[in-house]
Amino acid sequence: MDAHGLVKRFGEITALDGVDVRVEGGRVQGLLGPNGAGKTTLLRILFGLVRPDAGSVRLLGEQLDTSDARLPDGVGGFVEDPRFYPYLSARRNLKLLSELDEVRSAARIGEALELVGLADTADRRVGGFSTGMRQRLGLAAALLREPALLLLDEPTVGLDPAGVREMRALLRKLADGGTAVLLSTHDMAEVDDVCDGVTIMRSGRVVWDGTVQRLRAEAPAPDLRLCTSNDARALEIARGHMGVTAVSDQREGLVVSAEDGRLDAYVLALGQAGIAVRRLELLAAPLESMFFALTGSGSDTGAELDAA
Amino acid sequence: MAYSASERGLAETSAAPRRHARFAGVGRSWRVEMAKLISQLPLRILAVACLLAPIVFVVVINSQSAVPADTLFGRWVHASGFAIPLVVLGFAGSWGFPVLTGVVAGDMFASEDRHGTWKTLLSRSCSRSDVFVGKVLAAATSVAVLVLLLCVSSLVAGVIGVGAHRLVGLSGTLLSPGRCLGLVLASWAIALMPVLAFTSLALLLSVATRSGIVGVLGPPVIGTVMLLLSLVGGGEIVRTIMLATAFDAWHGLFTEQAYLGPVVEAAVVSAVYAFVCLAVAWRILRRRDFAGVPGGARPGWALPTRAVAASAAAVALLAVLANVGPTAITSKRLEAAINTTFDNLTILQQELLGRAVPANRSLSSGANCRRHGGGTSNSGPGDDWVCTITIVVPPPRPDTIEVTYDVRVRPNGCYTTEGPPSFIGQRVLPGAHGALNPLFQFDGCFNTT
Repeated sequence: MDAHGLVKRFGEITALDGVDVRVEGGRVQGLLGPNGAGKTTLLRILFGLVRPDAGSVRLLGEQLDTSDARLPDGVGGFVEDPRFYPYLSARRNLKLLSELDEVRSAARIGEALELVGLADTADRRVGGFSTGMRQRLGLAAALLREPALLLLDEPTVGLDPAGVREMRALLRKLADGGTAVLLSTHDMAEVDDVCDGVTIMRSGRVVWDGTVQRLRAEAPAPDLRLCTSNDARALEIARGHMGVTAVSDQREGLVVSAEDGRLDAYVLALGQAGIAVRRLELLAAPLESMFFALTGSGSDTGAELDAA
Repeated sequence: MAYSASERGLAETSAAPRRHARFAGVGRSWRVEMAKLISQLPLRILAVACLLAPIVFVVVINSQSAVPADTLFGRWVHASGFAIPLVVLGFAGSWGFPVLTGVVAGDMFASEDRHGTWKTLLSRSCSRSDVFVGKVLAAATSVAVLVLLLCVSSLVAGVIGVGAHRLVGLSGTLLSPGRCLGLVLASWAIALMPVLAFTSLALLLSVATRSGIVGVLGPPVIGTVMLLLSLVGGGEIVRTIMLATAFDAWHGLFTEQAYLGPVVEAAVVSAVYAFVCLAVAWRILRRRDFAGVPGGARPGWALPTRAVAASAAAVALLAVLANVGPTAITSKRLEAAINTTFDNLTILQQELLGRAVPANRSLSSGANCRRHGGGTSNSGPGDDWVCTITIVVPPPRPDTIEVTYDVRVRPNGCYTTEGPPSFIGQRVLPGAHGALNPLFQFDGCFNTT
């Protein structure tokens, strides 16, 4: 997949402002960004649901016709929450969708349902499905197209922890089998777990693009919460240590940031000063810190994103 | 690039395979849309209603002596089973067909918005044009099948419940059962043209408003407004462009000298409506971004308010223009039609009374029609027409008899007469095994094109 120079405006709102994204076969590319960054608009353009004002898209070597788009064979996925006809069963929904793809194999539908764990509920009407079940069905619908390119928008939303693990394992397996995956997500742990590369967007622009390893390497020191027997004295000691930043936290203790070596020295200094360290916990992982730094999101925003 | 075009079999193709692929996409979309329609309760209910309504109608008609005399052929429902499908066609043309098209097609596009399934549908191997054409064809197929079901059901119910007897046509001649069958089927086929145009209208409303309610209720409301507009004035221009009037095009098949002008008009008007509605609908769909509600903006009331105001203004303008232009209802046309019908019905009455009428015998009569309250203008539709028919009785007892009918003339060129019982006799002919007196009240139609 190769999207180049994509621009999309909705009235006075610029949703995308010259976005370039490229995904290669056998790789999972994470698409990150806060709400309103333009991730969903980008996916909608890739599916031909939204026409860009400028730029071009090539999917599996085929130029996407934005006037009367027909999604190339081999491209599958979903954008936002997958939707189906509520008055039909899951199996019937897949049957109709596969009819549109000219795939008339009942066996393949059964396999897809089995793979996403919906075999037992396949004959129930979709109207009664939970969000997680719809997510699974969405993936089954995408898999019916035997995708060489999989475009997914937050596929683990609504899934239970076991479902999340299964979904991530499946995506990794598909990528290992040669499928290119573009995975829009809010979850940094998902990026860390599944993705090979990351594209971070902010206000309709790509602000960072590269591998997960590079993102980790460039990530700033993590924020830690430090609770001691004497926080005021611990703050004074921190000011005397190079490379250690500490501020008093309104809720509890101090928020400390330092690279590992300097943090070790600081903690030892606290012990020597007779200050007991009661708790030292990670507030934001390195990747999250990087995300917040790149997107200008605060930790509150981070909490909101995680919740989403 | 991870995959080249040739690797995935997506290399440049020639025009013929592309065309084939396009038709294949439309075919797949049509099959899917048909499957979705058939799965939904409203279509199933409609199918059952189309099947059972004529049967219930015949049962009710057979259980009472009253007849739906206000509808063309309504007074003959006890006399011939072929009157049943024509009465049903008359009812359906007034409101049934617009309701049917609204229910089938009005939610076709809007339901994708309601269920949020546009993105699901368009993320498969079908283009927007494939989906659009597939939906249009599925709506047309479903509507055509329902109309056929209603036609066959009413025809069978009429033939079985009443009998395949001869039917009195709109010029007073008796039509044989075989001819009746052909004319009934032809009439329903003609009515299918405006039905499909109304289907296009429902599809346009569904695409443009994204509201199933507007799509479903729009066609019957617009149909009723069109019907009222075609009734308020005598001008032919507005009446002709009203799609609802195309449902009357079949009347000319049942006169002694069949006239097909209204059929041609109906075909042209229906085609124009269908083309314009589908072209506008496709333009809206093709240009649409399926982007949810960007920026949290919510659709306001400005556009619907403007649309309602523009529609109201258009209706008001058409109402004003309804009287503009020449009227096709003239005393000359009415006199010719009513004279022929009266002559034929008089002969039929004599036959029903058991009196021998020589073959090819005709009555020597003439009609003179004028409007009671029409001032100097003896033209235009109304219920104040009076027609005096002068009958010249041949030797051996030569005489001149005048009979005066009150006549109601409709804008579509059909009329209903009511004569004086003192001369015409009662509703049922004495000694004719309960046969209706054809001259008591009679209907007829004349060409308005």
